[in-house]
Amino acid sequence: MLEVTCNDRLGKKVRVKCNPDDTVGDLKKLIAAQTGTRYDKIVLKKWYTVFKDHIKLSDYEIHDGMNLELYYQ
Amino acid sequence: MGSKKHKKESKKRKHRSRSRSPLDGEERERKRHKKHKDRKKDRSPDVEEVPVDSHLRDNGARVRSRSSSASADRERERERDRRNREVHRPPRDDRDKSLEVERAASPVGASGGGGASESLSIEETNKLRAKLGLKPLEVTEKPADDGKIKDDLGEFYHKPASNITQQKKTEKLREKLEERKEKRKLEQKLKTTLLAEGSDDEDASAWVKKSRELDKQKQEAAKRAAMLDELDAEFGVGALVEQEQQERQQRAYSGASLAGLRVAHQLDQVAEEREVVLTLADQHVLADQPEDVLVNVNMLDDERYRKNIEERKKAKVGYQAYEDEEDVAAAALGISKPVLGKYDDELLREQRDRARGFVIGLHQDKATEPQRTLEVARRLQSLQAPAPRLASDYLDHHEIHAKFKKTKRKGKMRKKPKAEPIDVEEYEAGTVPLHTDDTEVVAGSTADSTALDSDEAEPDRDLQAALARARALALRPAHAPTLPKVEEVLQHVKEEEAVPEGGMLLDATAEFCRTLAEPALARHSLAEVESEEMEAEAEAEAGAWSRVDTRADRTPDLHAGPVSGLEAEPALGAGVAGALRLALSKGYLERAPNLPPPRPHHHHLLHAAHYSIEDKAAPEDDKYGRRERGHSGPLQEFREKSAFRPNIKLEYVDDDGRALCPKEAFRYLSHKFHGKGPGKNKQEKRIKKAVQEGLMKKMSSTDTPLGTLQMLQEKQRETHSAYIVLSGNKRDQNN
Repeated sequence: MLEVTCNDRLGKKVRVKCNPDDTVGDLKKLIAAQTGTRYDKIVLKKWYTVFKDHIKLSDYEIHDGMNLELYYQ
Repeated sequence: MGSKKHKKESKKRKHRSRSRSPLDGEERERKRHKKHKDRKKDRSPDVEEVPVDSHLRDNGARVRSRSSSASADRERERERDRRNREVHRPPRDDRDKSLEVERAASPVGASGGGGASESLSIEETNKLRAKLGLKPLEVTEKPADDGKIKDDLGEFYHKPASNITQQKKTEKLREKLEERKEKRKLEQKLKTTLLAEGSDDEDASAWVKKSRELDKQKQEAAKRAAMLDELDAEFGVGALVEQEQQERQQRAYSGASLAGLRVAHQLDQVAEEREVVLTLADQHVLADQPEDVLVNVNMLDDERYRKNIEERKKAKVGYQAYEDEEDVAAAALGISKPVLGKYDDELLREQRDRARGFVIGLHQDKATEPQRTLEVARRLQSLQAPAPRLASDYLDHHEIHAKFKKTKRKGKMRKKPKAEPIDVEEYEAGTVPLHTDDTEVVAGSTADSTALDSDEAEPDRDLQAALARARALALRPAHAPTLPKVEEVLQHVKEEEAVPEGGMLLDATAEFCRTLAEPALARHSLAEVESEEMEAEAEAEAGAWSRVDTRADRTPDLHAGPVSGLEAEPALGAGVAGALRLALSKGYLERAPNLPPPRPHHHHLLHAAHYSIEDKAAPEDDKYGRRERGHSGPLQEFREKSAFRPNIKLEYVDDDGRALCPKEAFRYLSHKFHGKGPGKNKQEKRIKKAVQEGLMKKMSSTDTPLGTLQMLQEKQRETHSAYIVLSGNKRDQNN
């Protein structure tokens, strides 16, 4: 289990618990559940890398305590 | 924290208690749902159903800035209020467990403008995941903090660094424990009953009783002994018993009982000391036939010491490949040399010890047979005297053939090449007379080589041979003239006779002189020769045969000296004059042409005091001397001034009167000549230099510029000491 912090710099900052073998899409759904935004409107980024939905967190090497940038499309 | 929580809970409880009516609660819930539905119609159904209550409970949200997301906040607050009024709630404990709100007060969250982040608990997340169709969270229990640290990839465990302090502590503890253990062991070992402890009679009365009993027993024993003595005396047994005892004592130990015992030392060694205490030597317990041997400890030590010294000597000598003289002698007597004899000592020590010692009672000290013979051989000297011989004046053929070998020198050698010794192998010392003494006439063969002392023999032989040769060489020139004298004289005489008197002697000197004289001779005799030729022609005309001219002057006077026009050599014998004459005749010296006699040097002293050249020249001047005078100096030197040697010194001084060196003088003159002085800098430089020079000249050569030496001396004179104390403060020094 790992916990990721997602921050759009507009006032939303959530910490989401997830599994390393979850896909980014799953994470988005969890974030959506916590923040109340629609999951398909969420874009997760780290610097200039836009995380794709079908790829696992572990493949992106997203570890416990990491900060992800939360954007909306 | 706990107190805060309590307050919160109590508040909530109050709320709840206030709005306890269930109906009311249900209605409100429904209403709320309706509202939600209205607002979130476009949302996906699954998200809608999720009870989003985590952030509703957030108290920290109040702190958040509203400006950033005003609408969301508003909504949230509204919802919270509603929640507060909510009736349907899970029981308190349950809620506490499930709805644990974690508030992250991370600085990033606070400053990032996003506010504090919120997160669901694991259980809540699991619920959510179940709704989303995801598998629950894998809650792996945190690995027990066993000090193992995984590396970044999580593959390898790093061994944690050992804690040194802890290690030290444990070590100390262990040491302490061990010490205690040892102590306990020792105590157990040493635990013996003390005298006082062991005895049963701890009280004084018991002890007294015991001692009294003992006393009583002793007294009884004494009484009984006295009684027995009395009885003995009565029957006369006492004397018998005494005698017997004495006998027994005598029988016990005497000198005779020592017979057959072996003493490990030589008899003479023992005898030379007055009283020797002998003890039984140590022996192996497991020895086959233990034999008692008597030894003296001091003597043993001495022997060991001697042996050590001997061995040290042997070690110093080192390995000797060739047998020494003793071995040669032994071989001559038929005693074979043992192989690796030096180890025999170690191997046969016991045997040797036994052989060396003696047995008390048996007085025969027989040395081992070979040793005995060797010793005898060493003492033997041959009595056979060398056969007498006549001394000869001449070199023996051995001496003639014996030559010093000369080493060929290659290039320059710094080292002196050693003169090779006489080849001893070719030179049989026995057969050659050795002149060991000058007065010795007969030098027979030297004594038997075996009898010769080994130390002296070899070097002596060489030395003697060399000396003999040298002496012979020195004697030879003295002998030589005596022998061939007669013959030589005879021959000499013959030779003298053979030389014709007045004959021409041709030798190198004469030839040389002749060649020198030839040119002169040629000139001289040319005329004669011509006349002779004329005569000869005339004679030829007269006939083939001519008369011998009997004119005296024509006869070749051979005796008159060096044939053709050479004077007779002046004899060298008559002192320096003769030598000079000879030199003149030979042309080594040239006869000077007629020179005027040397003038006396101080002739001017004889002249008149008031004599002037003018006086002398005056009459001539009148005619023509005057016009010549203009371009020609005096014809004669100033004789009266001939001793005048003027001492001319050119000294230049500058404007300040300082003396100038030639270089400076040139510069000075040059400046003057050109009418242009040196630059300002140069002038300054020169002035500075001059000043420094002046200072240098003023400076004392014996003291420092500050005059410290003088001060030092004054101080010493004051204090009457050869030193001054440098330490201390200034006032002290002044005093």
